Amino acid sequence: MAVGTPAAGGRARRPPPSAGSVLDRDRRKLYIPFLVPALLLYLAFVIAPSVAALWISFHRWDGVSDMEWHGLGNYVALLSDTVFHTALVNTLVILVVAGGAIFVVSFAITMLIREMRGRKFVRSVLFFPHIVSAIVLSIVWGFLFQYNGVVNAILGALFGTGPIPWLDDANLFPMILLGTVWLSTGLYVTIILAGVDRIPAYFYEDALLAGANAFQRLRHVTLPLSWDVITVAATFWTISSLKIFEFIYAFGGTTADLPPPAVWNSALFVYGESFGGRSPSYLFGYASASAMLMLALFSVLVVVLRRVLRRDPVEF
Amino acid sequence: MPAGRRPARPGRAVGTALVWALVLFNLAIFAFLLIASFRTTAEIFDRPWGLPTTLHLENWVRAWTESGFARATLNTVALALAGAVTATVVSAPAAYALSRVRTRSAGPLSVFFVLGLGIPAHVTVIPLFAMMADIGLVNSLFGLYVLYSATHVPFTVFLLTGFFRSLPADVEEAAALDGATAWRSFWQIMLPLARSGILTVLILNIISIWNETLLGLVFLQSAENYTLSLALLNFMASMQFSGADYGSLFAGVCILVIPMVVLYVWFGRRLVEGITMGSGK
Amino acid sequence: MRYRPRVKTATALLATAVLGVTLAGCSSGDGGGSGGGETFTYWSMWQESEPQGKVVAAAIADFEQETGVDVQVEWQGRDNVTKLVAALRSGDVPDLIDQQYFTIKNAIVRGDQFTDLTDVYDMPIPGEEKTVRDVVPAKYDAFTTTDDGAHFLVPYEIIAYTIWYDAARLPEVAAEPPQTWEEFTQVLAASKAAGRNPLALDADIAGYAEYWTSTALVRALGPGGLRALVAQPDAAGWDRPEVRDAIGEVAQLAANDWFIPGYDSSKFPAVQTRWAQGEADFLYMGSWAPTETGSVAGPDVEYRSFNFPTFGTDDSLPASAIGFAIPKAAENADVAKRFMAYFLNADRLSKISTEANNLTPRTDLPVPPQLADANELVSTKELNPITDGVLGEFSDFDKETFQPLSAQLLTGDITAEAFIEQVKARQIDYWKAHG
Repeated sequence: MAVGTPAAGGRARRPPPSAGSVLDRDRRKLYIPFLVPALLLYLAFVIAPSVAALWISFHRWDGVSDMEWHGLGNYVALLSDTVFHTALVNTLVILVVAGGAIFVVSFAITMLIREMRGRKFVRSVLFFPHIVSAIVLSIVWGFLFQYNGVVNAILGALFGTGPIPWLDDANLFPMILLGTVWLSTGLYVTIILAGVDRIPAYFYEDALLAGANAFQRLRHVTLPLSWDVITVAATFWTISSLKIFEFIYAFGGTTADLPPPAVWNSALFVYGESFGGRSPSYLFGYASASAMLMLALFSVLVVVLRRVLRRDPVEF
Repeated sequence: MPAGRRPARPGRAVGTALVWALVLFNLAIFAFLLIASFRTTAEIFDRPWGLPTTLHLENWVRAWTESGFARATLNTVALALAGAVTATVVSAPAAYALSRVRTRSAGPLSVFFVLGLGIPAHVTVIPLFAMMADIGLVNSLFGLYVLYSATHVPFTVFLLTGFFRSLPADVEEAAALDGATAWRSFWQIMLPLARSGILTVLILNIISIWNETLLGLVFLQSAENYTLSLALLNFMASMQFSGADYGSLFAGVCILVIPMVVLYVWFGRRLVEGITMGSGK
Repeated sequence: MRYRPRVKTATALLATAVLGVTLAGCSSGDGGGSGGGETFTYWSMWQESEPQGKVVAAAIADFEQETGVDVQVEWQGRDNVTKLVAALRSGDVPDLIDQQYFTIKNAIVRGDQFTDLTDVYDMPIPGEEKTVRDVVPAKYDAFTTTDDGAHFLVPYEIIAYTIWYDAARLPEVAAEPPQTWEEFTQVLAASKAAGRNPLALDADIAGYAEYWTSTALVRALGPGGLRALVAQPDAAGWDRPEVRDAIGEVAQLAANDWFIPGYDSSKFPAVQTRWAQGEADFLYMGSWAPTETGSVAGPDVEYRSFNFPTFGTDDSLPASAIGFAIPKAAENADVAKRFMAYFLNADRLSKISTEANNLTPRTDLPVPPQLADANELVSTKELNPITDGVLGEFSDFDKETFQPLSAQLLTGDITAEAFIEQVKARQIDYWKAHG
């Protein structure tokens, strides 16, 4: 990061007052024209549809006929819909369990590869799943772990074990969690490594001299000084985990089929209630209501998260 | 980075071994995809870990010609480039304005743009569909291009605003002293300075659009409009009646993955820097 | 140095503009036809390289030649109706579409978006003396008519759902196929005792698991019984003893370990493939089974099938129909209708049977040997919509409750009691929410 950014008031050289304010005034003229294109696109294709989704959630609608006012009916129905409950729980499990695992694993890997030879190579290879389409990863994951797939073949050859039902009903969601952790770890290793790298060496030296062991160094040096980055990463994960769709979607039997509702998350629920499956439900009002509920929930979560994680910035 | 060497501990050794195992796993998967694309389905299941006896190039041919991957590649390249460029072209000035202009609305507007990051596509897809259908832009690559550009604006504005803020103000001040207007200052000073950031966000956007599936699924109906993700899904669907053809499937997968790997190998350093730049502020 | 950024940016902008325009030019809706001549658009459920796709393509080519009509075909694949619903908003709909009857019914009959095809039934078939009605007898009306008696579908392929096996490996079954459920379970037990895997099922496709439970319930309750059961807001019918018995019998299949190992953790079409290669004896599947598994089947496989065994008196044949339909907003409905009649001509339609190896509504066409049993059943038994129509009429309930619970029952994850308990509770919730 550009450490040398001068703070707003403290410039090394004070320019004559006129230049700064001329530039400022000039910039002010550009303010609106520079903003308008982005703002327009954003309003038209992101904000407006979100507001519209809210509007639709108060109706019954199959996409073709007229919308039928339904008040809070969709929301009430959602509260007693077991499939929605499952989707909600799954989304939260992904957030907390997969997220927790990702952070622990990423942190561990970060601390390990900091002093490794070839750390850049390791980081690059771990990052690889992030640039590959989640559909591909899901196809590969399913292919590897199916009953007569590669993993069982190798396990059988190496250890003589019988085939393990990795993808049966009970194991499917844990496998999805595992896959999510695998494909996200690289990104978070990269982010956390960047934050940890910025910690100057003398802090660690001081800690060593004071007799701190590895765990104490982690707790008292690494964590506090990279807190900024951790906060950003945690917020980013919270937002991203809600959007996970492709990885789970491709676990359906065929492309015309959705995966079983037991592994649905919020995005799949929306898709499943609207367009998805061999015989789509076309329940657009219902689907929109579920999306709104999840959005509200996650907004609250993000705000709470930022509040919980907020600390006074440590200057160094 | 701590100076000096620390004595190797068993815990660290185990950890390091595990990390290398993970690295090996990722590499093995990529190698497997590549190798499997040259084998037949029977071979893959018989000896998953073997090398191909003969190079079954017909897998690639089949994926490329019969399954529409050729056309899909063209579509996806066009969409990714056009969408990423448009999003960046539209967002860079906005990010500049938000980072440099001191007005009361700059702060709240920045937050407003960041809000968009948190809105998932599946929330907006239904009304978007209704809207696009009403103006006749469904099943149209142009319509999808507009959507991709617009939906990548929040991320691009977010990243570039942070980036512009981190650039030194002196150069512009100095240019202002020499009589440069803000307009020229933007084009001739800021943009060159911001080149690396812009390149990074361009590549990130290209990758994101390349891999995007949900909007493509909903908005594209004709096979000739398919993007690579859709072509892959379509190929999987066709395996149902023509029998499992994993060789060709993996050839298709490689067509989808290899360009991204090439892009990543070429620009990887920038990508990583770009992500850290956004997060380290 | 000063000018380079400007040039670069300008180039980028120009490139974007060019790309944008190219995309606009490349974007296609359903393709305008040539000005002047007649034309219609057809969104096919088939892929172009599929056997049925080839048969339809050949018929289209002949039609174009004989009538001069320009046909625009999109080989959409199985999603074609979902895409149609998407297109209904913009009014830019294809003229002709085909799918399984329940998918079409669910999509365009519900919202009254279909064209009444009753007049097509009176049309003469080109090249023959017969009308469409003559070759598509009334027994298919269950699949082609709305509640008001209007025809929304002209069928050209019939699907029978039967239990398939390889007669070359199981000659004793071929000689005397089991008729009742008891006979069937005896055959299964004998197969298991002989060291084979009696049953195959790709359990990751919940729809296939549903075939077992829904057909068992139809056997117990008679045609229409399951549909009536699902339509009850208080789900009281699930407590009836015959329902419990039927579900219990199906649960026994998994409990007795009669399914091939790994059926619950494989990815389709792995288990179906293994069945075709002789690793399992029986597969309950639609009449597309021989075609789908033909390329991977072992040599000398002799495909034969028999009707789902009876519990009591009901021996109806679960079936479905694939046919043509026309959305209401179609602009070239008349031409499309003519093509429908054209396609039903004996010479053209017979290729569905001989080349695509599927059954047709016509009884006067040759039938490939592997479909002989199924054809016999179609001719003699009462036809009942697969899943008793629940798949089409209550698709949301089916997808979220009945299918997944059936899959869990067939994989032994839940007991029969748990199945009934949960299906009752969720059915009550469903009607409260969407009634």
